Amino acid sequence: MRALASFFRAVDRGSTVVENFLAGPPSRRPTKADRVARLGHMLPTGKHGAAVFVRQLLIQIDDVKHGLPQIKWRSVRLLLYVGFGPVLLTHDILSFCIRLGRRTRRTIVSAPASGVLAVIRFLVPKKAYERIFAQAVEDFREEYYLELSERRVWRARWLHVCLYVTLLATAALWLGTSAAKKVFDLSKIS
Amino acid sequence: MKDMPRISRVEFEILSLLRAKEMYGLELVKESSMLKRGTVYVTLERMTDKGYVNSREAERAPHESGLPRRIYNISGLGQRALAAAQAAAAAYSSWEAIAQ
Repeated sequence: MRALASFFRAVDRGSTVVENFLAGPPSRRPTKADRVARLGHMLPTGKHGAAVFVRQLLIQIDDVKHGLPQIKWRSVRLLLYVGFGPVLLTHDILSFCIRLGRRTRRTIVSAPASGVLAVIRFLVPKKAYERIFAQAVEDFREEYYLELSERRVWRARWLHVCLYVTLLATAALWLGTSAAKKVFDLSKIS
Repeated sequence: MKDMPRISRVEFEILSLLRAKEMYGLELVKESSMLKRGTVYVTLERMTDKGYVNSREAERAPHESGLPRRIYNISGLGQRALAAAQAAAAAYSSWEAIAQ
């Protein structure tokens, strides 16, 4: 969800710049007060050469970020849009992918099939649970943790799916065997 | 003839593997291509009921977590059943060779 939100923010930022290109220069050039309001304490106040240079550089960058007010001709702005738009979007997509790749979100999750195992524990006799179902789940968990420790996340997820299929097969076989045993015992009594 | 132990192919495979050393279910599945994860424990439980194999809970270190594992080994009856099945298989194959 967070990744999706940051993706939409990136697209929104890109589209704002594109809209500023298409909208053309603002009705009035930004005044010193506008710039100070936007840049705040970032503007150096000194009168020596370096301070003036940095101040002018920051103002120019800020003007570019807020719609390139110096360019009056629509054709030039469109040309810049065609050239700059894909670069901007590529940059946003790349930075989004890098953020997604570097994301180290750590969450605490329960062990695979914990819920299903609780249901099985409630439904089947204790002996069958301990000797059949718990053993089958423990086998998968051992391999699941091994895959996770080696950072093979997709293989671990696949094992998680396989665990449910195996539990289904085990439950079906156990039910069949138990029913057959009951029928055999009943036939022996009669 | 009534008390003659009868074992299936899967049971034969399990007994053959357990004759060498005691193992737990996952080890059995990894050792054999015939055994499947979904069926091995049900078969082992059925064999325990028949008296062919014994099982015990594996010892765990205090820091180890998880569900307790069971280790299976072959019983005396299981060894006799396996020997009988192997003798029957050998006799059948020699009879088949004579018939051909």
